[in-house]
Amino acid sequence: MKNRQTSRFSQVFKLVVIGFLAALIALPLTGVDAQRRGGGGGGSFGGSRSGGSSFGGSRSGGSSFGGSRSGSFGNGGSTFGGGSRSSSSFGGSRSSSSGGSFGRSGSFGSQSYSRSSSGYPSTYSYRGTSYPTRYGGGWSNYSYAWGAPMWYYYTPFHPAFYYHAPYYDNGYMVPGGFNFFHAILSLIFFVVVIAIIGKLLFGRKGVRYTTN
Amino acid sequence: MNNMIFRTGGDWDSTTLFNNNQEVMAAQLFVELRAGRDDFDQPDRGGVNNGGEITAIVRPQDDPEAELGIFPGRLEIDFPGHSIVLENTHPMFEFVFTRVWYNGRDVTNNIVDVYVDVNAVDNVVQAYITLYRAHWFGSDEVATINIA
Repeated sequence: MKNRQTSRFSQVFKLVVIGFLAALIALPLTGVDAQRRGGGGGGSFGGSRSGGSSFGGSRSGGSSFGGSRSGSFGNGGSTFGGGSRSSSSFGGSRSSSSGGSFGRSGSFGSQSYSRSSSGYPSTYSYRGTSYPTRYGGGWSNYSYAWGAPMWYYYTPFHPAFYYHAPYYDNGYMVPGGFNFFHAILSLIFFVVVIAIIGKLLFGRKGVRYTTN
Repeated sequence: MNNMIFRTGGDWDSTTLFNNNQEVMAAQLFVELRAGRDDFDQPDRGGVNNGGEITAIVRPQDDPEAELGIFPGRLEIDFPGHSIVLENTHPMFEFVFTRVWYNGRDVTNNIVDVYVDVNAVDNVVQAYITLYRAHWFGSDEVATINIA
């Protein structure tokens, strides 16, 4: 009886370890944390390849924010106020993001996307076109890799895979939110992978006898 | 080299044994193969590669006390719905050179037991085969298939 209990405990322990490892691999914890904390918005959008290209990059950033990507905010309000195109671009975002957010953040010196006081982008640029954004709150506030190609959201196991793609709604771009289905799929996938590796490495499970 | 074919339709009238295309009037065909076991004599994967032992004899009708060895050679055993082929053509009858097919499938590497006893004198017919089936998920299976 004692052996049996030990064996069951061992099995449960293995399952827990496998589940933990799978979760560690499958879930983009750093991405979620970064976006959730708001301040991490810089990491998500400015830091990532996709965010960099859409918000800080030359393609969309240059057109949306009126020309010089690096010099404009770095030089403070002079360039920001002077550029007519940038003011028009920022005009739309100011209403939702407020000037305070620009004032409080010095990190915009090297970045050229707009950000609301809540830490989320107030404009969404995709293929050279900027859209105002809207947030529904809660989980739906998160949409990793804004401006990334759509197939990122369907590419296992890109970080964007765990989010729904942003969608257009009445003139606003709305983040798709966390994709639980993909997260669970990934979790199952990695559980299976780890189980297979465990089986290959650590071998045997007992034998049952059958008669036909 | 023997090339024996045992066939039965399920009764004595349809039961025949041929060796190199010549009928053998036999009192008993007895085959016992044990393989696929670990150091504790428990079934394990590996089949013939794990080593083992085999007994395969025919007792002629005219001299039931005599035992004629079948191997080196080939033995085909056909029961209704089941077919077993055992082959060992090694001149010294080394066990690891034994090959086994069940219903056309090579089971050399997962065979555990083959037991065939067809005894016309005592009116006994018993046959089964045991295979080790390794599964990716869940427990491995030691499957005994009753043939007769």
